[in-house]
Amino acid sequence: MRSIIPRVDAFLESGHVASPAALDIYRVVLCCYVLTSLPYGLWTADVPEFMYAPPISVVALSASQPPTSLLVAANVVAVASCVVLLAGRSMRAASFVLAGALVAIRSISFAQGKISHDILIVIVPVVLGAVGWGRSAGSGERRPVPISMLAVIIGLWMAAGGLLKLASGWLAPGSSATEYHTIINFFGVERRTALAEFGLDHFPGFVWEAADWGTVAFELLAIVVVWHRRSFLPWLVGATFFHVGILFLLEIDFPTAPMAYLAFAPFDRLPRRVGDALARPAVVAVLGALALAVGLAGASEAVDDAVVLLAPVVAIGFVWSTRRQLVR
Amino acid sequence: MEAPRPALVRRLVFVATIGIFVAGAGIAKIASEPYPAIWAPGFEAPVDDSAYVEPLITFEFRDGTTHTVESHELLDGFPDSNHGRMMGAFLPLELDGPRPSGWAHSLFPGYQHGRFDRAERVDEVAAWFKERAVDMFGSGDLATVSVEWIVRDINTSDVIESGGTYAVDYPEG
Repeated sequence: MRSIIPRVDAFLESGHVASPAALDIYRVVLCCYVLTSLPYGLWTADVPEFMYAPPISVVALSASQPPTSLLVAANVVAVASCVVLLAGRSMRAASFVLAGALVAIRSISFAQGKISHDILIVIVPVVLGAVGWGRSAGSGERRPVPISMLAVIIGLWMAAGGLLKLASGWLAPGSSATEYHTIINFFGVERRTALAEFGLDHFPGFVWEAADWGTVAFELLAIVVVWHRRSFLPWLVGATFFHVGILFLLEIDFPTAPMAYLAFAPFDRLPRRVGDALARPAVVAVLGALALAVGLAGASEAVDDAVVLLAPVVAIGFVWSTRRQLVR
Repeated sequence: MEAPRPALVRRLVFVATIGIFVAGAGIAKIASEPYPAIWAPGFEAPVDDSAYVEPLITFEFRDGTTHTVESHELLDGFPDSNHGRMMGAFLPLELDGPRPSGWAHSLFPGYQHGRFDRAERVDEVAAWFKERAVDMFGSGDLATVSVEWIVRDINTSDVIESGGTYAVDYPEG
């Protein structure tokens, strides 16, 4: 135990770090993404009371559906805290308020029992808010910001999925859970993707079985690679492709996962003029307003798909730009 | 020598995070997945992978016309990822039962509220079906609405059997 504690300390302090300049850019990217997803959950206003069946959650403390006004208020708070974060003011408080608003919004939206596993979009502002999101270059604070806890949480998040699959029998020979869920998704939920149609018609059994084993192995690998930057960053690149595969096969997107992975991107390696532009309040204000307009126009699904599809390109670009540090 | 304060805080957060993860797993094991939790979707393997169940919703009107729709049509306007859970409100009433009195249901009065005592809410369901009938077909003069759960072969989609029916009758007058 005594030899583990110093290693854990070292990992938490410097295992994964981000520069303040990189986090400044990421903060703008993340807040704009969150704004495109707002307002969130307003469809629940039309859900009849008899469908109220929340999971164990704060909402479940009430025996009846929360009023829509509460959901609207939480959305307004989320928008306001994004604006404050974009402005670079009270970043710690705004981060925590944003996370709380997002949890409230989702808790209400999940009140029929369906949980969307996008907790990472809540975790990111909590973790980065706690470490101060870095400071702007103008303040002179240039120390790398430790973000190892975010890596640990991403690893746990993904490995949890793998453990659930393992425990429920994904690796049992003679049947394929990937094929089963593809069929359910195709015929039951009517998400008829081209890859699913092709796969159901042409994939032999060993391909589906390989998908089962590959999925479980990849997800469990998360908690193994998280402890070393040289293994975690390539795994993140693989994860972006993993999410693209899920989108193509099942038409299920997890845009909040690639958005969380971007916290590890070396945004400070972008051309200097990009960072300079994003440091200008007018530019940030325009971007934020555009993002909010996208959200109000109901185009968040298109944004989500674009995030998932572009993530591998962005991830490869960033890892390529830091390949010398990874190899050293 | 004592560790500096930031290192202590990081250790506490690290341990607390592991604890939150384990607690979430524990709650999921003994009750069901809570929210929030550090949890990616499991897409658990089915107990029986030879079949799947599909609801078929039939609106019968007093003038003799009948309309059959699928769940995505009935729940049009709601995200399709939620349709499965929402359709749980229309499982056969033979599967209905009283709300359990375990710790989870006692501490959280709303937990799985709509999944139990469904027979007491048939009037609410009838009123909602009537609204949907007006929206979809222009008439609310219903005789019966039924949701039949069809069990189909996973490979051929052939009907194997009926998994039961949830039905709402509309008395005349």
